[in-house]
Order: sequence, then C-alpha cells, then structure tokens
Amino acid sequence: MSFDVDPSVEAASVPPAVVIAGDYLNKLTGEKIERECRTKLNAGVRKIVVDFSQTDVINSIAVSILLGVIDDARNAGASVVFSDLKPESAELFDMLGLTKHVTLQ
Amino acid sequence: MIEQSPKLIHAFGALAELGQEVANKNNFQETIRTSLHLLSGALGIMRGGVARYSRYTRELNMLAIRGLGDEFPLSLTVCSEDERQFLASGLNAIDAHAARVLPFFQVYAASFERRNIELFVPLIIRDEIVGGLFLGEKATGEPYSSYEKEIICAMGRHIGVAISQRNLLAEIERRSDENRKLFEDLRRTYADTVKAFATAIDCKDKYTEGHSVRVGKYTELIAAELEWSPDQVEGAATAGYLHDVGKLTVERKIIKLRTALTRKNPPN
Repeated sequence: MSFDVDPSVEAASVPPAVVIAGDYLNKLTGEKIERECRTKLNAGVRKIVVDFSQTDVINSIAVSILLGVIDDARNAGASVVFSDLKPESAELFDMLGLTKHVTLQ
Repeated sequence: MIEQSPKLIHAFGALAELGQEVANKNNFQETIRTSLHLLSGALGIMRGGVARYSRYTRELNMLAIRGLGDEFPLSLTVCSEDERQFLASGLNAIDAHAARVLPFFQVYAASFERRNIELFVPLIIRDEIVGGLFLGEKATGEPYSSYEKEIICAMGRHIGVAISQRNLLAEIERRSDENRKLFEDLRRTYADTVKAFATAIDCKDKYTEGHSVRVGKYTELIAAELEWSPDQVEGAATAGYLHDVGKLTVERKIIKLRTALTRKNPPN
C-alpha cells in the first residue's frame, strides 16, 4: 500500500508540477489531487506545487489526503509547495501542523 | 481553551461528519476508510490504521491503513492477558511506549517504532472488543494532549459502533443462511415423507401398485407444464401422491372386494 516511485525516471530533468485545487476540497476532489500528485511523482517530478488560489473550503478528509500526499512526496524525495492559500486555509494548515512539512508560497 | 477553539471547532466538524458517515450505511470498507481520513484530518495525524477484532482467532485485522507502509503487519495477535487489560481500561487511548508491559506492545514494538505508532485505542462496544485504532505521530510533532485523546475516543466510539453493526449484520446473515438450509432440509424431509406415504398406500393393493406415485409424478409434470408457481406445483404433486390416502385406514379385504360393497354383501 505504500507509494513507489519509478526508479527509471530521471528526476533532475523533470520541472516542478502544478496541481490546481478546486473551490471545495473534500474527499472526491482531494482524491483527485492525490491521484494527480502520485502520477507526477511517478513521472519523476521532485517538486509539486498545489495551487489553492480557488480554494475556499477544506474539510477534514481533504486534510488527511494532503497529509498522505506530503508523506508520499517525502518518501519519493520530493518537496511540496502550497501556494496562494487563503488566510483561513493557512490558519487551518498551521494549526494541524501541515505547514511544518511544506513550503508556503 | 480560547486559543484551542478553532481546533475544537474543526474536530467537532469532523466528529459530526463521522457520525453522518457511520449512520449512512454506505459500503462498510469505504466507511472505515473515510473514518480513518476524518480522524487523521481532524487532528493532523500523519499515519494510522483501523482494525477489526476477531474474538475467535484473537486477531486484530487491518481494515484501513494510511502511511503505514507494506511492512506493517495486517493481522496482529492479541493474547488473553492483553484482552483482559484492554477490557479493563475500556475505550481509552493507550500510549504505545508506556504500555510495554503488555505482551501486545512487546511483540509488535519494532513495527510500532518503525512507523511511529504513538497511540493504540481498543474499540470496546458493549463490553466487547470490536477493533482497534493505531495512530502515528501528529504533523505538528507535538505529543497528544488529553483533550485530543478525548476527541480520538469519541471518534473511536463511532468507528466501533460501525464495526459492531457490521458484525451484527454478518451474524444475522449467517443465522439466516443457517435457517434457510434448515428449511430446505425440512422441505426435503416433507417431500420424502409424502412419497413414503404414497408407497405405503400403493402397498395396500397389489392391483393398483405404483398408482399413487405415478399420479403424484404426472400431476407434478402437468402443473409444471401449465407454468404454475413452484409452490403450486409442489402442492399439486402432494395432492397427487396422497389422493388415495384414505386407503390406509380401509381394511385390505374391502379394498380387494371384487363386487359392490353392500350391507347384504359384507366382505368375509
């Protein structure tokens, strides 16, 4: 059940990937982001930028899924950047400790 | 407390969602998976798992895991001493490091340490262990506070109820299956008894030997050909097999009488 990275992919050659989060981040949309991130990590991406500029609401399930994305990225030797967070979302992530594991932009 | 208000509001939101998820009676596996997400997302827990307990095999079998990797055991054995202690402590968060006196935490110490399992919560519903929660470190890196443990227990109770309901449903299904088999056996016994009666009736008279059995079979075939319902076919066949049942109480000499039966002409 762990996430494995394809070792044949040359990481250095792959540019950062941007994943856009929707306006409401819940189980359905969270899992979509998770799938996208996994695909990109498997393709050799070593920096994932999650764009929250459109995101107004994030529920607990989505927080858990994002923690999984952070864990997957760490296991793959990749970094995660959260960009354009609304103040409420930034507060939520800070309160739950997600900001300790990602770069805010 | 005031500075913890946003955390509480967030956790209560997750608790409400969990209650809804458990009450919705969706796919059980999906409910447990979502429950684990809600628990992790409520408190920012990096990894964890939900297991169901089998009291027959004394095993905790993982139903959902997050971030525990492939090496974490999917089935964990619980000895009688562990079981007794879990039941005695009730549905409370147990610190995995502090509970090393228990065989369970000694046996799986390496796995727990490798994946940073900090808390284990035995899910106890109506004085019975139904499962367990395995929880890793928080994303903040801070230890679990007492109120966070209370929230975990409150959420654990919901998850425990979901597992307990599932167990109950499985038990009902098993018993209903057993009843169905018993009913089938009864039906077969009934059909055999009817045929035995028909054979007994036919034995009463050499002249019509096999008659009741033939009538029963033909009736069944005709009823089936007429596309009657299975119950109607069975009823008609039974009537066919037993149509001469009165013969059983009539004396053989009367049945074998070659002439009309009158007061003036009684059988010898």
